[in-house]
Amino acid sequence: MDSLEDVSARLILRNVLQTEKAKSPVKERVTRLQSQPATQRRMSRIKTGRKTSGARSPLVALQQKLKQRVREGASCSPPPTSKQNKESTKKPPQPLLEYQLATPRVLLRRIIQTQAEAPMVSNQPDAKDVNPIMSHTPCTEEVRPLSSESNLYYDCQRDPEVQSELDLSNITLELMQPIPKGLSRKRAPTSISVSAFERQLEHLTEGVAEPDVLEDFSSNSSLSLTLNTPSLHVTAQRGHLQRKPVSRELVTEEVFDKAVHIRLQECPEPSGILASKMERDSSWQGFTLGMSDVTVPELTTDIIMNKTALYTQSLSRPATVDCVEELQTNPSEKEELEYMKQTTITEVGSTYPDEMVPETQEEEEFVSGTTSEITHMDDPDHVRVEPMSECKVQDSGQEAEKQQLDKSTANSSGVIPESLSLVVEELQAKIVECYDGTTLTPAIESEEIENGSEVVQMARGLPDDKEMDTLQYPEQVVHNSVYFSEHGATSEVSTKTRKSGCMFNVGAEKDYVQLKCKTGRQSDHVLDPDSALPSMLSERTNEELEEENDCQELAQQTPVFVRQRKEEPTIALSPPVVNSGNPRPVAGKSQPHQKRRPAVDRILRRAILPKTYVLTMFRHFAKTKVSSDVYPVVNDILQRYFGRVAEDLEAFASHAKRKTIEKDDVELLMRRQGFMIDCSQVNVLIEKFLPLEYRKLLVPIATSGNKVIPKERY
Amino acid sequence: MDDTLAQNQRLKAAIHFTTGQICQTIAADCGSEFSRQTIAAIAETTYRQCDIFAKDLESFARHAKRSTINVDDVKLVSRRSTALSTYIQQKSEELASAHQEQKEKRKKSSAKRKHQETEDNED
Repeated sequence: MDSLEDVSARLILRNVLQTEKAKSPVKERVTRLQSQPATQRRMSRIKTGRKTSGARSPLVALQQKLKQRVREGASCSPPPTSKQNKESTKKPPQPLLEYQLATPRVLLRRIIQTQAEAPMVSNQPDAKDVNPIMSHTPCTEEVRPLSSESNLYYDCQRDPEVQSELDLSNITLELMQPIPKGLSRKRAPTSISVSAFERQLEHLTEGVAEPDVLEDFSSNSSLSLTLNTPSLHVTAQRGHLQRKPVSRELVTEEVFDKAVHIRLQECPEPSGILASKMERDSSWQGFTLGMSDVTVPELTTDIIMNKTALYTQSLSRPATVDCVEELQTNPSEKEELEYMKQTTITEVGSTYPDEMVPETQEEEEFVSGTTSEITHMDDPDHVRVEPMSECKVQDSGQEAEKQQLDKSTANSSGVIPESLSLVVEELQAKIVECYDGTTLTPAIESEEIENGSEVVQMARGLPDDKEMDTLQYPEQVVHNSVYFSEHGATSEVSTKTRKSGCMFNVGAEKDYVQLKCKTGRQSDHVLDPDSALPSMLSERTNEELEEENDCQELAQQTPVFVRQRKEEPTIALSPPVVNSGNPRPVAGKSQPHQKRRPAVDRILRRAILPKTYVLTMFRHFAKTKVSSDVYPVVNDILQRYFGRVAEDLEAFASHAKRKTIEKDDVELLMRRQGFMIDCSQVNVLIEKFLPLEYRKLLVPIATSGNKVIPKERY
Repeated sequence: MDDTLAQNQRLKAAIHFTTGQICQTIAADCGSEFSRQTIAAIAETTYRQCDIFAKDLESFARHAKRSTINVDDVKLVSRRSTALSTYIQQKSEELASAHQEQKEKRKKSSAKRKHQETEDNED
């Protein structure tokens, strides 16, 4: 509160109050009230104040102005009127009066005294008085306030040079209003009549050019006119009530400070910022500014943080999540993990110890972050890391499972593999969930997948690889995809394919792992509104497919792996096999491994659309600035959107018992999405969405009639 | 116009009543209550969703070059909501099986009748 340094409302108030404290209560009140709005107004209006340094109170500046005016008025040659004589006569006593009391009221009085004019013929008896305002005689009472005000008008007109002080005169005019009120309190109540006012006008016009006066009357802030006459009426009506301010409370410093405090207390947390801002601004606008500044960054962070919320599946699986969380939160388990991994490494006798070790370390880190990172799977920034981590974990999980199942090697403990297997299942399920919307390639046609075929080939080239093979990942994926495609070809709409999709274990015999995966898939089917329909991939980009492929690879590792293990139990852990058991989903051999690696990275990192393109589009439609942080989020959204579009189109095509997506399907989709409704005109849509070349083609067709859309197609 | 309006009003009222009943049963199960505004909101949403469903079903049927709305249309509409779609799938299968059973019964009965008739004729 006391930190105000600049000229603020509070400071002004204080100054005003201090300067005004010597007055009588009535005067004080009046002057204070006057000064309160006046000071605020003065702050904005004072342009010509001679001495307007920061410390000076506006009141002093006003006083000086008035003095100047008085001097100028005295110096300038007034029109020859008897009033002038009165002025001159009045002048000697005036200097005494001038500097007696430095109130605006007194100053105004002096102005009026010094510049009594001819029209105030009726005021001559008043003019004789030292204080024409103060001496209301009943006969001329009604005229006096008018005269004083009209004097002012005349002043303004007579002092064209002091145009800059017109605002001052306005202020003084405003100040003037309560003065006659106050004065009239002592006198008999004035009865204002229009006739009297008109008389004044006539008087005014006598001595001065009429239009000027009239103009003055009108131009000189019709403000003043309106203010004066009604106020006079008011004064006439209210009588003794005139003096009292209209519901204006005394403003003291304490009150001001209290109000500030209250305001600050009312405000919530950001008040700290706001308080300082407020004190700086000395206005309440600081509130809104502060609030807006505070909340905006939160939104963006929320958006980013809430990415996890998109994956609602996590809610449905509290049990497994808890397991994972336990795993994560338990450092001892992590240590066990590490130990286990090391044991596996030792067992395996890795030819790629370098890769394994850092991977295991990364694994530990990623295990903690998997559940959260899983949600970022689609994020190209994370994707590269994610599947790696998942693969690693899964690899370790597989290793654990393998150990558990085979019991061929000494396990560190039964608990760890179990937990890891749980983790693995969880991860797999989650991966499945993540990509469920994009229909884990139930109908992947390998020809449409460039990298996918690559994967397929590589995987198929390694049929003999064994359980520990993470090589199996691509192979397993391929297997599954093949199975899926088979199913997809034969399946009907939705549910059947879904079920087939759930059938990880086509040919798999292993039990709980697969079951868990299945349940995971089913559960997330419950959650995920998107159905795992066989998708016509013509609409889908290769990148999506590749990503899906990869995810499938990762997701389906365990069951197929387990299956293969059962099929080939004899293929024990041979070191080279285990070596290939890198956490990376790569072929066992080093060459294909290395070949695969960049491909995998490419797959996982690929974006749906180019970054600049996406951001340009986004910015075009956004009203506000868009940072480039939105790109990963938008990418994710785009992926889902295109996935859903493809699914819908496929569903529509199959609904029409077709195997190819036709324009009718697209139409139907647009209708469902609300882009086209019965009453919307096609040409409007065309103009809205299509480039100019198409417009030329389509508009004449569209304008031919809009009732039946298919008929209009060419 | 007035008739349609009145009919709409009655429809809405019926929907509102039904949703209220359902909400009450659910509330009894959960041990909590539904406020009136909630029920009203749900009822309004249901009404509008029914409207959307009807339009979609019609467009789906037309898309399949049919003039009658079919079970397949309904399944397509419900594919977005997994639970609903599975439920409908089950129901449709049940219905299909029931139909088949009925058909078989009818065939048997007709066969029996024919047999009896032939027997009668013979007799």
